[in-house]
Amino acid sequence: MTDVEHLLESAADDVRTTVGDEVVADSTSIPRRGRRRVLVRSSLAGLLAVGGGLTVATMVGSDDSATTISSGDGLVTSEMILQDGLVTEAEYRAGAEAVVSCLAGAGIEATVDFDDPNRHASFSRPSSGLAVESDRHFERCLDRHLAAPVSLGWAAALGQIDLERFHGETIATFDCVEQRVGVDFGELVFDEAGGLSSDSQRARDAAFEHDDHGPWMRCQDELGFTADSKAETEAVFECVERTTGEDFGELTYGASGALDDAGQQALRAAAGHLGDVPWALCLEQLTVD
Amino acid sequence: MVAPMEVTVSQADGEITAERSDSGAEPPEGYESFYRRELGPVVGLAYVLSGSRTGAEDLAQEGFLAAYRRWDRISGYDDPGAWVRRVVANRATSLLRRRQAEVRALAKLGRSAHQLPELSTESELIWREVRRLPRRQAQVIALRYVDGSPIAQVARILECSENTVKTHLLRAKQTLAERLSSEEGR
Repeated sequence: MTDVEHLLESAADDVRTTVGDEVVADSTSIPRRGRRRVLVRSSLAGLLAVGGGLTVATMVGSDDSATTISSGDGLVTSEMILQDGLVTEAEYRAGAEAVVSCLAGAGIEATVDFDDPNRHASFSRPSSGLAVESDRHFERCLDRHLAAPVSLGWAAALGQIDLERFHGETIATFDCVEQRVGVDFGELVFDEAGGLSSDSQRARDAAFEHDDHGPWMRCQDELGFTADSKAETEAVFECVERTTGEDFGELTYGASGALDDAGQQALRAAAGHLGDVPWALCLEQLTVD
Repeated sequence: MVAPMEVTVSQADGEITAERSDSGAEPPEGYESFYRRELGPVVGLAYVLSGSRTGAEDLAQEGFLAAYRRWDRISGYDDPGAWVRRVVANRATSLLRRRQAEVRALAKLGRSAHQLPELSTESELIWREVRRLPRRQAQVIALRYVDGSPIAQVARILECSENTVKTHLLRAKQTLAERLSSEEGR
């Protein structure tokens, strides 16, 4: 049998050495960098992390740089790609090439390749030190020509993600977070095309960001949305019922494959019974078995 | 002497922007020493969980930026490092999130200049198998081995019981043993 303990220790040493030699909190890092601009787009971040439908995140800035990304430049846009709700390889590549052209229009040399084993675009440009303005242009060009929903759509086309199921899981997780933390984040509704209104996006982002993603992640785990966890969740649920003699209901699922309201209620009741003690014991027992 | 740092956070059109410079107000007390101490381990954590040589530092930076913006609150925690590790562990195991970090890093920094070095072939194989594990199991392995966190600390970071951590650890190692044995047999 492979000595996993030894292999992990050795691999961890390799990481510590590699990263330790390379990453030092000095002039190359945040606190002492001459001037570094970090962009965190809440709506995009939420979309990428939790999924959200084929909406286009239009972000019109009020600063000067926004005007350099002009409309009507003849390049394929995110809206055009998403028009029929599907993203083809040709469209995805055209969008990525449009990002390069868009950057060129702002005087920034960049290239794109598709060598990534996951078949997503990788952009690069020579290191020029113009990080602040380049970041700004890059983000805007991405939004215009290869917005997050396009990346999601392409991931769906490649079978890396099931958007319909993603929507179902998003709604179920959202509801779970609201109930768990006792906060009304607003209404989350997907339209017929699978899109989210800006209000819905804000509601979803608020739930996702709440308490540093903790409730969202825990709900995803509890609801069995993480890979390989569904069967485990059902087995642990049955174990908790069996060992406590309680009837928490049934783990029932909706059309999307996500737990429906009754299923979520049953799961929360079982997982929260007597703290998490029965749940943790069952989880451990099933592993040992 | 460390140069003072200024951070300005603004929000418009759904976009949150944090801007730092080397002039202006002093950083919140304690943040810089915290950052210096924790940066390496947190990048290592992001590296093995994301598998991205280009995106790992960006993922870690996102976590530290989030901590900085909440530093008044987080600095009062018993272990602010646990908070950053939780944020980064969660973000690094989100497929699309880490891809975006990678794309951003590539575009911003230029591919060749800022990639972390490659690990040995054997290490790469092991971490690739770790990333194939269910998310929680992968996080537990990375925190336990790369970060060197004891079980109780891993439980605090992931906000679960120590028993749950032990279970994830045991199950993860069983799976890894099976998969790595079959790799060896090839």
